[in-house]
Amino acid sequence: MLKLPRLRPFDYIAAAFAVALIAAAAVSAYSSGSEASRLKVQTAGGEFVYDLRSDATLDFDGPIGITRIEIKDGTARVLSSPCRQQICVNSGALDSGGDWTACLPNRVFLEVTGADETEVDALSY
Amino acid sequence: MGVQKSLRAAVIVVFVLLTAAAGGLGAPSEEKTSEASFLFDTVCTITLYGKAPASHFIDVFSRMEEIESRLDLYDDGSALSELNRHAGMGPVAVPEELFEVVKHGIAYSRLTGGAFDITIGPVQQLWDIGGDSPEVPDSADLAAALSLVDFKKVIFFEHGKRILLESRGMMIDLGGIAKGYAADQAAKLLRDLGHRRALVNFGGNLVALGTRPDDTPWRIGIQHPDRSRGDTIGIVEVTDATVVTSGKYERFFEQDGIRYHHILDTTTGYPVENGVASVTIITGSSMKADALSTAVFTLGLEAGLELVNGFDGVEVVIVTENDEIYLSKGIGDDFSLVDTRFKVIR
Repeated sequence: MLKLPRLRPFDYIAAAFAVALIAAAAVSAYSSGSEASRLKVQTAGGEFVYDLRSDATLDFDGPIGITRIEIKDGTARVLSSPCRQQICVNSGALDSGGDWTACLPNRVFLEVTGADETEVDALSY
Repeated sequence: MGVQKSLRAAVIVVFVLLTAAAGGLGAPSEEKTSEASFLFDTVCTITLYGKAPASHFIDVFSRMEEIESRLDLYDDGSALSELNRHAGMGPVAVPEELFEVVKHGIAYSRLTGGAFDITIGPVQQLWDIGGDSPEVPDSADLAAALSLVDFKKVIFFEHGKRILLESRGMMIDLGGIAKGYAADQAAKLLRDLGHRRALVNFGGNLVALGTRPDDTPWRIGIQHPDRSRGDTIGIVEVTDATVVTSGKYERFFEQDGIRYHHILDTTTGYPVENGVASVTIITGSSMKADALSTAVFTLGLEAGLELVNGFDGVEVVIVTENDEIYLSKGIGDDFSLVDTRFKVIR
């Protein structure tokens, strides 16, 4: 019958260290995929980041007036903007990582970041 | 004692291996940082991977602002505006960068038989599509503007880097290649700064440097012509390449229930209506892709495919309004269909 070796204190420390490292690595690996979605808003006045889990209505000043953005149920949309073409408003809700829209005349750019990766790396349009 | 030592060593080896494996499992993917700026009348985004000092973004966007200040038709203070103001009045000395870009623009105009023509300025100005007050021009005004469109009337003088626009009223519009040129320059600058992989996206003009962080090709979505921004019709896989799309859905206005888009026919002066919905070019130079996407759109399906098949290293995806997608010969398996309503013709 195999006689198990007597482990010394250092062996216990080494084992504990290895287990701790494995645990930390596992936590890191599994948590990176479920990072909360954020909304990044870039304006003439600076860059702002919001948690998409917290509903909010936000106003941003730009060269031609105020762009109003709504965060609701994990999505973000431009509610109103003083631009002529209303492309930003008509873009609808942004909900996946990499989704973005912009009001060019009012210099407001919004993008969802930190959510699950979309199927493509970039869009040619 | 010998057995004990061996077993202890084995235990340590097992722990080390487990730790290394777990470390690999938990290793975060390469860090990704994006910055955006409003330039060239669109949103320009740069995405860097790995260590990306903030100064790199500043360097690239500063360079882009410099390019815009030279090539922007709508900035009265730009070197291009200065050149256009002197049309018909004699040669004008211009910055070397403008000289070279205009030369390239004329070369592409010649290569495409004028289907792409950078002297389209007077017609573009009349329509003002994407501007504040777009409208269908009066036919006499349009005919007058169209008579000024002729790339053969742009003369270059290497000595002193001077350009002559032969007729009064002529106007060069670099809108068809400026974003492409800028994207090429941004990619070059990023390479010089040591970036092996990056995505440069200037209003849909894409340059993909290197590969994805997992060393597979980049997956670039092609905008669906009938759906909202972000919905893809297909995906192309590329490595170290540019992907540029011209689509009739991108800039347009409506008058009396008719939609007018921004890609103008250089022979009629009206928006091109030939059954093509979008053209995507995949090649090495973004400026070339920019020019060719417009030219192929204007030429239409058959002549457009013929034009592209005449170039080495240029591939095309043409989406028609009949729910068909035509691919050039060399695209192989690099294109995958997303909207299965469309029929792929290789």
